[in-house]
Amino acid sequence: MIQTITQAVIFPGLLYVLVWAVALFWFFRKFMAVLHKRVGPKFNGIAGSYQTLFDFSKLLTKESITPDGVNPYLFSTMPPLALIVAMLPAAFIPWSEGFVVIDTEYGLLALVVLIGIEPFLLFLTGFGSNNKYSFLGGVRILTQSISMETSFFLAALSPALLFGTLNLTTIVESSTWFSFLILFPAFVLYFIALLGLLEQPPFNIPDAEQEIVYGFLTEYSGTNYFLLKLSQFAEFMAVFAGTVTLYLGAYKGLLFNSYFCFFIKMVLVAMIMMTIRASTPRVTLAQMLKFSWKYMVPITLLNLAWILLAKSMFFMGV
Amino acid sequence: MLVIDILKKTLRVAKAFMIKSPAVKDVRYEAMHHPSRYRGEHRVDYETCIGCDACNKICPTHAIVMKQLPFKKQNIVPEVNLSVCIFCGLCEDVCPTKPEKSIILSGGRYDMLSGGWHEDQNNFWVNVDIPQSYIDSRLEEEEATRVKKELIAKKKAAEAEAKKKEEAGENLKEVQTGLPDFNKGVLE
Amino acid sequence: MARDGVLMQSIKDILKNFDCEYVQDYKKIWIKAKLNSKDDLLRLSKELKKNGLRSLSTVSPTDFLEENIMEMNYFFEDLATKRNLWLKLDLAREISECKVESLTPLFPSANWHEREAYSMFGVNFLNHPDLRDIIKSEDYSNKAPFRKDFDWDAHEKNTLLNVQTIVDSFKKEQENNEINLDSDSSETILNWGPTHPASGPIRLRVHCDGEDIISIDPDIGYVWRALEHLVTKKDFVGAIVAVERLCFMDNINSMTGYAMAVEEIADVKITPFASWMRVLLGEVARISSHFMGMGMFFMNMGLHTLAMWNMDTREFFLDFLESYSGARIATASVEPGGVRYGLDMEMFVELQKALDKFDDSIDEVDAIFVKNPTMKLRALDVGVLSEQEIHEFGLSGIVARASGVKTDIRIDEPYAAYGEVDLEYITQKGGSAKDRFEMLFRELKQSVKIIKQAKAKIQEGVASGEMNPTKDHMVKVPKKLPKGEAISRVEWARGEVLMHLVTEEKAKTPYRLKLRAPSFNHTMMVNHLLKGKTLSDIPLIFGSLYICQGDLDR
Repeated sequence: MIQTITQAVIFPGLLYVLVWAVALFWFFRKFMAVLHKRVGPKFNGIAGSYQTLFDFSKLLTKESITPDGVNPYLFSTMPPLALIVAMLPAAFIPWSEGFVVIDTEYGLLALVVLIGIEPFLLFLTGFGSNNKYSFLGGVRILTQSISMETSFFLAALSPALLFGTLNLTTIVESSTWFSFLILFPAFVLYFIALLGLLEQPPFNIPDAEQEIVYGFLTEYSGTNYFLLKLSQFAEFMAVFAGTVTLYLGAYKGLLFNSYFCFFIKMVLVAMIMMTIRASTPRVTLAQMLKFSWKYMVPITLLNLAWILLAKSMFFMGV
Repeated sequence: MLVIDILKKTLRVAKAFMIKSPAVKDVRYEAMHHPSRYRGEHRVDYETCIGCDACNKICPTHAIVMKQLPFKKQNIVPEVNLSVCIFCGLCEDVCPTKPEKSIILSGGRYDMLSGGWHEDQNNFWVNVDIPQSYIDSRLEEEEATRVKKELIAKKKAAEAEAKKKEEAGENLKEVQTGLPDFNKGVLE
Repeated sequence: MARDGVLMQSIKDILKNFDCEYVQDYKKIWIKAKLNSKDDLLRLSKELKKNGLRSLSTVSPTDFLEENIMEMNYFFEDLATKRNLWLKLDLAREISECKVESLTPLFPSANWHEREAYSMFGVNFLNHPDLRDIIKSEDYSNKAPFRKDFDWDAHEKNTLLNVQTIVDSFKKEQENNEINLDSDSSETILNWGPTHPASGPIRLRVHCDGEDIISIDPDIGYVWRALEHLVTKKDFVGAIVAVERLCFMDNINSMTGYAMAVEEIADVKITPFASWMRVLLGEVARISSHFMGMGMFFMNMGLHTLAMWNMDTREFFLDFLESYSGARIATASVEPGGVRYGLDMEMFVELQKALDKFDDSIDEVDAIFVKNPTMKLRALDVGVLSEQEIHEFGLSGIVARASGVKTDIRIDEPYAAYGEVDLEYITQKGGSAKDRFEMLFRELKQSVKIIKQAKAKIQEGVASGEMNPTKDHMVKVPKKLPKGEAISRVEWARGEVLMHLVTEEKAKTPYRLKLRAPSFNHTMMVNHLLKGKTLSDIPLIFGSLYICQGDLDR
């Protein structure tokens, strides 16, 4: 009982997500600043590390305005719900050797399903605000996530096919350098689908500030906004952790195995995502749909064929 | 292929890591670039100002208000409302004072800060603080000149009267001899 | 040139068939004429269009109160053979009698200019397809603010009533939006409004069906400062602070245009040093404006990196402007008579630093952003303008040159010292949004070449003793000007700016100054370009037309 509460609130629960969100936000800002030849946050704390803390706490003290004519159930209950659903995948990930909160045979399936349900909740927030721009943003995120989900799911299935199990701990234990080479195309496809799912450039269409004001987040302010942003960062964490677990061998390091290596690998994935963000403009909805259905899904299916071939050649009998 | 192209551009952007950012100074305390012609806060010299009102007439936004001083001549100095001023520098251009102008913007302060409240915004002026000693000395000077003028005027008036009296005195004598003898026509 | 003489003569031949008060040559490529009867206007325009004068630059009324006349000025241009006609016409001044035929069916570019003349001066245009108020806010409806007998003080007294009028009319419009639409379709009118992150202060009423656009109707006037009226209250030197705020990023070229018009009326010639300084400062201001424009184009697509890198280089150019004039952006450094400040040769050290920094970093920008594959994907075949449309709608500057039309006022009608600068036309074929972006980039490089030439020339002049940098910068212009009028054109960063200045006898202030802004014509094209596209294309196309709301509203 005590252990469940500790795990739900401290690690890998609420407090962990909070600390992770604060640190990741700071990292994003500093990293982008260097790419932009700027400096980023500098004055509060060492290299501006308290800045995010101050920004988040400022958001909590602002007034949470509920406009006239919104659907009260959808508008006010969605943000906490979105946050909880976004934090759930953390329970299935093997954070370090022998430590996983829920150890089941269907870990991978749970991960993919929970990550996939999140955009639907965000669509409901856009639907519930009484604003044309929010509605447009909600429709966009639904369109985008349906297209990108397919290739995301198929690419995520590749390690499961290769190792013959849906259990995340087993996948981590049986992954080696060699299996990483075989899974490399799947890794690239998974990464591109990840960009689409998390609404990052070049696919940041639902959150297109220059086109539809702020998408489904337009009418939110104060605590509601804070909860939605936190759920977005929790989703980051879930998806990065998923990448690292499935392909990069979770907590396995060069010299020693621990949570620290897990953390380093997540930061590596974040750096790659940031660099792509600084060098690619946005594509339109029609172009994204064409790209996804015409190119991504067929290539992912081909990749599945390659995995089966490799399995029959190298992993005979597993 | 498109993806390879995008990857190449990404790598080139990543080269920005090698470049040091040019933002090195903390501009709250020192300016990054402060040339001598920079149009900053006004400095008004009340001693050389001749009160010609040219700066007030040319100001495009009517930010200059002239402050009345209790003298007879050269009795206005400019005060500037910083909330309205657009720092164009035309007032400095037209000031006729030599060798140094009486209202200068060049090389002025750049950190003009007012408080955040409404009262602070209404008080955002460049005021000319004239010490009482200067006012007294100018008033004394004027008094001295006025007294001197009076003395000179009195002296002149006195001389003029004296001259007049002389002339009047001669006339008087003539008039007296022309008087008729009243005792003449009386009973004999 | 003989060819030009023949072509110019053909305009005069046309004018001979009409009853004109006078026909005179004005400067090298203009003809100035005055029609006696307003009924001839439509026939004359048809003949002129057949002859080749297809663009109507602007329509500008001048209000003469004492003579009880409203004088109309029409400026016809032929961009291909560089011939121009300035046509004047007199109208009666009372509101009920002040009407004239509209030229919009023949010249589509006259659409908004006639609307502006109607809003500001009360001139009625017959057969105009869509004569509504433009620029001014709803509390000025049924009033003509720029007439000489308009009482601004009385209008400003009822501020609360004015604000209430504006709010009421906006609410009524919103109600109308919902009534006029189908209740079970997905059509709606979206307010792409003044508080939008990517719009700047303009409101576009986007009539769209889901994400597909049906039509767009721009609503401008959020930055209306009535600059044309403000200038009449200041003297000739003080007016530069109003003219420079046309768009303060490229402030020098607009001040140059105004100063040229004043110098023409006062009959004053400026020194060669001042001419070369105007060229130098004008190109630095053009670079500063283009850097921002390039950054905005990519920011509208969601990529902020180019804007940040450009700001880095732009700061060095602004350092030079600050050392010279004392301010970075609204410099107020060009006056009638020359340039306002003398030059200290040390300032060229800073200019050289800026040029070196530019040469170092421009290749990276070229490789990463100008040749960016995703940008090509988005911008290669949207917003295409053909050559015919450029002529018909009176577009100019980058937009015209990106569609292949060779027009550049620095070469066609050289002013300041551009006659001695080595310059040539830069054009692109295609006319899409990507071509306009590439034009910005190539113009940047051209401007840097011109700066290097001007800098070398000034250094030569100072070294040989011909130019005195501290004394030669200004020539005396009399405080009271005689009666007259003049027009001047400059190649501003965003297009062609035409200024028409009218003065009265012994004038201390301008009587009327007309500023013709290029963004006005460009914004007319927004509806035409965006029919049938999606919402994602609005910031892209709108941003590629290089519009600044400052000169759109004046």
